[in-house]
Amino acid sequence: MEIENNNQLALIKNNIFGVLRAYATILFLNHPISGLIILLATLLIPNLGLSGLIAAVTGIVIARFLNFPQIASGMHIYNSLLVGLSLGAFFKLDHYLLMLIILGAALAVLLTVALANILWRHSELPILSLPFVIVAMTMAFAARSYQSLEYFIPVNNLPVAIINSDIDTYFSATGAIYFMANPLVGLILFLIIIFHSRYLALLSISGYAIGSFLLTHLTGNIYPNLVAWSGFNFSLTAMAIGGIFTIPGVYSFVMAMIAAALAALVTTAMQNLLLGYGLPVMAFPFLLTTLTVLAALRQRLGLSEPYLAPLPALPEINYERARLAKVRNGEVGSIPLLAPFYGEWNIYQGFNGEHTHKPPWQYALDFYIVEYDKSYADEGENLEDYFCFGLPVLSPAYGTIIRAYDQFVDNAPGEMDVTNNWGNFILIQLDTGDHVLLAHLKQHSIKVKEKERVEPGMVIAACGNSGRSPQPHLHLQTQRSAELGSATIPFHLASIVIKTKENEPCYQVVCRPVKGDQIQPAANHDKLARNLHMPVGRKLCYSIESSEDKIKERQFHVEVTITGQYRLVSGSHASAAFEENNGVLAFYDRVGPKDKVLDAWLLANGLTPLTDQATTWSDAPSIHLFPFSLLQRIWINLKYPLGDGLDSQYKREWDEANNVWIQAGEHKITNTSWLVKTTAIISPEQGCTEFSLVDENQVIQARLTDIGLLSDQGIPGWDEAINKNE
Amino acid sequence: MTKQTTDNKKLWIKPSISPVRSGIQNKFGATEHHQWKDEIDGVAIKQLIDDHGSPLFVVSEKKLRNNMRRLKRVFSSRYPDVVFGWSYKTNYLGAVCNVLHQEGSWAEVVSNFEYDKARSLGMPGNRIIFNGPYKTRESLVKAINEKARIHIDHLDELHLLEDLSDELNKDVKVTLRLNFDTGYTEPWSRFGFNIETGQAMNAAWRIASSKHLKLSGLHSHIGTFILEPLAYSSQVRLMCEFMNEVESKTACEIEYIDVGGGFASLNSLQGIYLPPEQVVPSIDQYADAICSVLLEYTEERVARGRARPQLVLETGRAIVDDTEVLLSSVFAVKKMPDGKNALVMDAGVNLLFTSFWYNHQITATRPLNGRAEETIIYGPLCMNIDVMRASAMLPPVKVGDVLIFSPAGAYNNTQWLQFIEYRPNVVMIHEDQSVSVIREAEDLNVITAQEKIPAHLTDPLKNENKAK
Repeated sequence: MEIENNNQLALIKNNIFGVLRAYATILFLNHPISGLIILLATLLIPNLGLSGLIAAVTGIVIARFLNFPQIASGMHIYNSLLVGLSLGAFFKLDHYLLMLIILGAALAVLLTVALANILWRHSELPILSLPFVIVAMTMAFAARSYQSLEYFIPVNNLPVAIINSDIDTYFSATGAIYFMANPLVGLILFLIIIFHSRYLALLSISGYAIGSFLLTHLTGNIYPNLVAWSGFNFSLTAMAIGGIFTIPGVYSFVMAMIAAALAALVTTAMQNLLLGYGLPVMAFPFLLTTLTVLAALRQRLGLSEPYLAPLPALPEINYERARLAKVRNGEVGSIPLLAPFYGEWNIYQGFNGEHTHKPPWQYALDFYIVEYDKSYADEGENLEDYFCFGLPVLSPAYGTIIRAYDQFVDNAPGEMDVTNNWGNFILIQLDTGDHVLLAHLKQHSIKVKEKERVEPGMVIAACGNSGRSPQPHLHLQTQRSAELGSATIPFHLASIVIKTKENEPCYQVVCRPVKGDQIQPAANHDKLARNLHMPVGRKLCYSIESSEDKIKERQFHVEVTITGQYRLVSGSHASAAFEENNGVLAFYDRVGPKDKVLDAWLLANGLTPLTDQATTWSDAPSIHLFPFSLLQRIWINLKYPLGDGLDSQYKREWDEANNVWIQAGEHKITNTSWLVKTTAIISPEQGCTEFSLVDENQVIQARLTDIGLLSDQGIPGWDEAINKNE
Repeated sequence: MTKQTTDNKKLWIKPSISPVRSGIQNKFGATEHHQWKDEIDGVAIKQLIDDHGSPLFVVSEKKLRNNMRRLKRVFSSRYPDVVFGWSYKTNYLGAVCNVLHQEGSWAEVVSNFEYDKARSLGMPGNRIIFNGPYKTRESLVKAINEKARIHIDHLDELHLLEDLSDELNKDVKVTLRLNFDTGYTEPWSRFGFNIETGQAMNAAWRIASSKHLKLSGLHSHIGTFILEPLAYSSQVRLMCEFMNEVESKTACEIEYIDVGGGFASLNSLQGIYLPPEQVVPSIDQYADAICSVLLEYTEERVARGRARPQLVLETGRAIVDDTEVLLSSVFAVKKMPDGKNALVMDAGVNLLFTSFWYNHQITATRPLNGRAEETIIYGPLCMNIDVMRASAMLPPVKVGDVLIFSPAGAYNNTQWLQFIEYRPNVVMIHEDQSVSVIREAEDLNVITAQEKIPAHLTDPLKNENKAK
């Protein structure tokens, strides 16, 4: 009974949050409290506010009734809400309008569900307010025959001027998003935007400025009302293109401004087109421009500026994800692969190589083995004399074999087969959908069949000399499509010990070797990998000694999100995502409230190679993990509005006496003397048994007291106290 | 680099008489007298002899490092986790060991002395593989405390280890040494536990029931100078099958598989008709034979998310043999009653112990002119068995000529005899062509240092003196 009550409570909470989020979603924010403020703001004009609320509630009831997913996110009902607001803005709320609102809200939900998936699956386009515009048009046309509807003349005491006319017009335009072209409402919305994202606010202002400048100067006349009622199109377009769907940067900003200008053009055109029908422009220009620009940008095969965000998010989050991806993966969207061989190999030809690695095949690596500048023993007359000939070739990633061919004869040394460039090859479709090509393989050496699943480290073939290959070598490239020899895309090798001409061998988390380098895959250390492994439900309790806080104990546990992302969740509800792929344990995407202990863990363990060949490495985790004082934090937020990375240097050594690894980190902020030091003690039996953070002002010491597993249905949880003296 | 004489200047050639034989000719020819060599790694042999005397052992650091690197490259490009244990008994000169340790080798020792030597050279205990049938109680205690990998050879050793681990209250990871019939080589059944009779499985059960012993490795060594790589394929297959059986039955986790050593070097074993260049397989062939089977048998582990077991190799001869030569001078030239020539050298089986089973290559250090004749090469010992080569085709040489005996890196510096002679200098030529003495020539003090003479025996002429 109690459980049922709880469930019902949760259901009601979900629905309420769904409605509130819908209000915020219109501004690309996803926050119930902000939604509540916006809801209250709309109620300043009760006719409009109530109409909107009724529509939103109708939307959620219908979505619930028809069992549409993702109600809590507000995703399916903000279009209903907009329909309600638009109707409430023009007509008096009576029982006639009520009927219309309910019908409109229902149509908006159905349209959203019907179209959203198609748009996303087909061309990765967001639905935005497209359903609303369609419904609003339908309603506007229909309303002409509905004689029973009464036009609504807003009577309110809202101030019409607060600062000066230009700025007020901007605020009014912002308010017009919710059909309240009023500077006060606009100001409230603007403050909400600025609270969540300074960059979004900047885009909003800049987009508006460009768009309204173009609109007023090209038409020659100043229609303050037109700008106030349609100016939000420029803002929203700039916000979407410059921050939500792309990664903030100079290029995406310029693109956003161009899009805002285009939106102004479309606004004028629409204005003239729709005037004949007596219809308002509404969000048409925003939709048309944003969808067109996004659809066009998505058509690009390779990766280039302005980069599209993998998932829509606030610009600060997009920027941080991209920054970290750049530090850890070389660039956004670069595909991580493991080296497809054992032992030390040399680079015969790198990216943009001089022989055959030319666009569109510039992202490719050729590997072979040399010893004292020779790739063969004896005279090199036989293929068997070549050091790499016949060596095992491994799968570089998780995937499925989609094509494999190994009937070509290996060329004699010095000969080439230019008709069948790739020779014997294996084409693997990665789980991400991209493809990996391994070419010039040895005749009859392929050990896998088409449709077979492969894992990293599986021996799949042998290095050979087939195709366009004058001496035995292995060719590796990644490509979007499954066509043999289609355009290549960037990739990188993960967890590599690299020896360059100038330097001693060193470990690299991300490696893009160039011609002449010698590389070796760093072997996963079984003990490190096994004991740092964090399965779902893993519970770690640490006793804390902190010089500043009173906290005595902190528990972390591992959760898996609906999308399959692993997260380490602290007792404070702060959490960070992590991955154990490609030879490293890597944390990212820290969210939630302030939690110095979790931050200390993330600094100490943030990027931990699972190989003992790694002795030093560097990383650039989010600057917000640094234990700032309040003043420092304000200064940092001003200096790096989009966030930045720390300069983190790690060093790990094996402590023979205590039988543990000591992983020391030094984290600096560029151009300052601010520095924290972290230490993680990693035991080959128990994982991270201790971690600490030290800076000028504080010391945080954490000691593992308890390892356990949260219980699951049918699986009892367990706890094991760690005896330090053992 | 060996050299060939090319100039056509008329030379005086010592006359010789040889019988005219018809019929069989040596179809491989006698090449020894065509080639000569007057330097090693760019250092003149004459200079070496002048500086350090004759006879002289010469080790090439460059060759040693190259051999080790090549071996490492060949194996680690075929298998992800390979460790080399330097077989101390093959050559435990400290400088040689440390060159190999610097190249990443661990130490493989088979006695208390070798264990101490590895530790004294600075090898940490956890990089020592402790093998052999005779490990004393004291040495086992040391090995347990220093976390060496202990390879159990027999049941009594297993009992002893159980007692010791209980006494010390320490968990000990142990490796079982196995023997079995590969079908290619004579089984070396005197070492380890036999698989076919179930002895090995019984030992594994015994370890599984022990409180402190943990079975974590398997070892076998199929023999020495193995010329057939497929023998190793068979060995690895049988070991992997045993590994799977022992893991599923006793729930242990095998972390390493030690396939021992036994790769042949380019030396010609007595009784083998073909020259070594034709019969000795390349390291690549051995590696292919071992790694392909090991990869195949451990693929399933990878699919289950486990690491492949570490492959341990105890290669000795194939690394060190051709990195060292013995330089020896002709002391006398004799004519035997049957007309054969004979040489008395200043080094014999006392220094080149391996000449009991190898026909070493003999290279002159100056162009030798004249007709190659059958020559017996004797050492300096006053003993009938001191024969370096029972028969070699050599042109006439003269007293003082230096001959190179190669390869001499394996087993000579460990098995050599002190019998009636001092052992000479051993030098190493470094990569920059500088030369260091890595073992000084012995003198009387070295040989008598350990002796104690009781008081009444100090005077050998005591009785005569008393009479006076």
